[in-house]
Amino acid sequence: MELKSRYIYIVILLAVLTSLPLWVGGFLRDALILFFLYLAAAEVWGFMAKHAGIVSLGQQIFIGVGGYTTAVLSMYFGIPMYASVIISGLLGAGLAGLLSFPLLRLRGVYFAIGTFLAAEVIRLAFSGWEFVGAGKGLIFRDAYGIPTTIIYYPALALAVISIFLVYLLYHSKLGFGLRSIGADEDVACGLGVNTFVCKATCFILASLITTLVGAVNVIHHTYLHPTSAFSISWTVNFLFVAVIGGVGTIVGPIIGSALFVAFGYLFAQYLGLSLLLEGLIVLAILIALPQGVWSAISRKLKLNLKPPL
Amino acid sequence: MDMKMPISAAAITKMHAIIMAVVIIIAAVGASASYYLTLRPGAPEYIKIGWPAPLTGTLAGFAETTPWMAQQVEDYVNNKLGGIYLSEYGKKIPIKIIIRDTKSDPDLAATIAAELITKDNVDIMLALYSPAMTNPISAQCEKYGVPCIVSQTILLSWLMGAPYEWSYAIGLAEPDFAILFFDLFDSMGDKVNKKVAMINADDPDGRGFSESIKIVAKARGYTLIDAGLVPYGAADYSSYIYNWKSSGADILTGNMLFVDFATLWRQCNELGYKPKIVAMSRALLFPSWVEAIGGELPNGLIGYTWWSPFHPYKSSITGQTASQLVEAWEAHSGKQWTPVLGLTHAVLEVAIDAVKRAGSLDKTKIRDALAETNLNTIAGPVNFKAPLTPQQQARYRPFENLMKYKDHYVVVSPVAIQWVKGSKWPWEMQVIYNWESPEIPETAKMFLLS
Amino acid sequence: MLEVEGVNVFYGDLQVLWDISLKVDKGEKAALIGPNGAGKTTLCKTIIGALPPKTGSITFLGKRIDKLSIPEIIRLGIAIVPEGRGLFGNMTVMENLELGAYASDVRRKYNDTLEWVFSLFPLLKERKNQLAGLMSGGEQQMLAIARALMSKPKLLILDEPSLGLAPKIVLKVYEVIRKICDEGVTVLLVEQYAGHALENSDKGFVLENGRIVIEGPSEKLLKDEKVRKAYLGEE
Repeated sequence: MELKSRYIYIVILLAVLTSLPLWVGGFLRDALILFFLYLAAAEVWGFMAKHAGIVSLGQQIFIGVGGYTTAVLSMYFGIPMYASVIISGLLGAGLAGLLSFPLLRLRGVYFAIGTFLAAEVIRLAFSGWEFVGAGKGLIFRDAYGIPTTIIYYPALALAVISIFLVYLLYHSKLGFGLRSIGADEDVACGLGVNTFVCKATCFILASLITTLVGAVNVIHHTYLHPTSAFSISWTVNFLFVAVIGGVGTIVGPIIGSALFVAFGYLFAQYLGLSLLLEGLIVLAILIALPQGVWSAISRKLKLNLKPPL
Repeated sequence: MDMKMPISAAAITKMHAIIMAVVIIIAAVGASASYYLTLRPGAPEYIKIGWPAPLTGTLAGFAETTPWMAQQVEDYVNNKLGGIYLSEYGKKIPIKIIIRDTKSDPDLAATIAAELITKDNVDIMLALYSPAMTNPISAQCEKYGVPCIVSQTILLSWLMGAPYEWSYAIGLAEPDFAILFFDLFDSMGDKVNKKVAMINADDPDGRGFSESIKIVAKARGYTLIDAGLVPYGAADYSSYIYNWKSSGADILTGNMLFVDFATLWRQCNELGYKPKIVAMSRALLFPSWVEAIGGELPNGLIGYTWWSPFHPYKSSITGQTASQLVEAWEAHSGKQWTPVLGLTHAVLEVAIDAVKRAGSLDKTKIRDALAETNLNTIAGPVNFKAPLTPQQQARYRPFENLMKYKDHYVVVSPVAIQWVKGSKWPWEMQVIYNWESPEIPETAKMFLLS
Repeated sequence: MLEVEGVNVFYGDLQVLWDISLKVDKGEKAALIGPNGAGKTTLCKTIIGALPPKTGSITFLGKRIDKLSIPEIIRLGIAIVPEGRGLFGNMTVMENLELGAYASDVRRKYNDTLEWVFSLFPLLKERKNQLAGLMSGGEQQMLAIARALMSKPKLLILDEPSLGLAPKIVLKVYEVIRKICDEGVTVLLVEQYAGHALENSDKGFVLENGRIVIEGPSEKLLKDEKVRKAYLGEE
């Protein structure tokens, strides 16, 4: 009975979210798309980092691959855009699988550095690749006609899928294994947890979501440049969203992403000071609430939520 | 195994409260925001010009003059002219220039451009300062159907996104630079030999320049001693320098970051390589870059510019001449002028002119007026309908997009300049070769370095 | 049941185990004793499959296991209680137990196994929702053993079960180990302090510098002068 009414609330929430683009203004739609995209990527990034101990600084690889694949397939090969998005997702997941072999043999900070270097190599390759516009970048003209009322839905879907994925992963056998790896990889290994398979599966799933985020992002922003598509600032932003909200929680990135998007718009108005101001505010939040905003709230209200909420 | 945790009754009611709060907050914010955003008075309060600019980050040097320029023009139009007369409303309406910082991030530039369109409802957009900024911003304008004036960018790169419907550019054409330099070398006659030492950065700019030079040098009978494409931050150029020195090349050219060129030129000096002409693309644009080379070394180095206080143009808004604009900027900021100043002003001229002629804030009408622009700005004439000159046609023929989309851009012709000791600033540029713009005075005679 | 024959193990180029051979029979309690650094933990890792031997063979229930992966070996019926217990302090008792069943194919019989383990460790049932990190050292050792039992092992290897525990608690731990043995589980005890291990076992092996130097029935080893001197602290 009680559980039933909880589902009713979730249904109401989803109904509100799905009808939102029909009655809110263009700017809010725009902001919500960004909110969902950063949320989707930060949820999986936070899960990987906190529970599985896989701290990747190379998720920009998948943002870039998702964006470029989607744009190139639909512009140069005439593949329908939705199919290009799906193919890009598969490609991103496949690439994550390939990268797992060299990278996941590394642990901790070495893995982080390894992923970052892989992203740099890929960025350089794209910077010199004439077919995708090299250093001139790529303008995704075919996406001009896609209004934000449409783009809103894949963005929302990605956020919802990402949240459910994290929830299910946490409570799955795989997630259980990952959490033991995150706590102590050697012991987990001794208990018979197949650490490589667990970590690779997690990395592939997270990268799949991230690739799709990159794909939807390029449809929204219609422009690609190797320096920004493969920029570490993507991963830093995901990290920001996850950490400021409360890394390893599901609700945390929701707050983090809202703050991040709001900050983006807000600080752009302080001409010449935006980078400095944003840095200072983030620093202040992290010093005051090192566990993130959500952890602080739930502790204050004594919510006693079960992880990973 | 079943991993489901028993959930306590208290936790469920808390869940209820949270979810309900979230629903209510989203609904309230959404409703109020959409009410606020759709509330539009009959006559517009302002003519809104959106300007996402890289005020911080790696491109900040380009946008340095943006806020000042916007303030100057806004004050002048609103206070001195009482606004812009729009026939549709039968009255003058003040302008509002909304600047936002893109942090030099192309993705944020797109986000901010979309915000200016969807939230601030700007009537026209400005997109300046390198392809990394102009391309994402004009892409958003195309997407939402907002007139956009693009400038201070490389046309070939911007035209990657062609055909454009809403965007018009006042830009620079890469093929011009190599020809400008070789026309200058040719004008020296027998005073220099036809051996050219060349070095380029290993990036798209460097690669493009290298390709153009190779074609022109071959056509005009010059021998290239090419060091090839060199990565950023090289510490030692001596092997190239010895090679150039032994081959006796009188001319050194290339396209590099200014820091790398500074290293190269210092080493040339130390190793006794003394070309008669050093003509560099990119590295010698800004006075601060030239000064960074150090000592007496910048003296006589040759570059190009697309604007200077010597350009005989004036503003269609304020009537200021190029040199008056430079004086105003230097008095305000205490900083030396840069070539960016002219186009930063000219885009505002073109924007205001288009809105004035449209007589309306209807975006299609503004766009159509923009297409018909025929205006003499502080950066020279802007007329998108004007045909290419025969020389330009010859130069641009290999580049399909430049030929095909002529109606969406005008090219600002560069002139060659030489850096010399200044009276007001350490290093000042003199126009030594006006090339295809006879109206621009040559302010000094070029001298050879040895 | 377990037969290790002529095993040589290397860390990179460094040989740490030389020609190890030992045999544990079904239902037996065997003790492996030796000083710190002798290679006891390395031998445990080798048996469980975490470190492949360079030469030699390991047979379990008549099947070669020295080329198998850890999960495969666990499924065949070997479990280990690692040195230092290796509990997940931030997880509950229940979650730690569930991890013990992670690799094994008795997951289907998970509830039966859990009941069996709770019958051996009634305390853990009471504390099942407590974080493992908040328990006392003795309780943690019990949990570590319980977790290993969750894979329903036929052979249980205990690496230093008495390490860092008060003497009274150690007695309790050994009581539990005896109980487990009575349940039909074969036990390999690995200990630095030989007293309890030898008193509670049928046969013993002494490992020194990576080699087995003495072996025999535990009673005999307890009387062995060298063993008494080196491992029982007698002059």
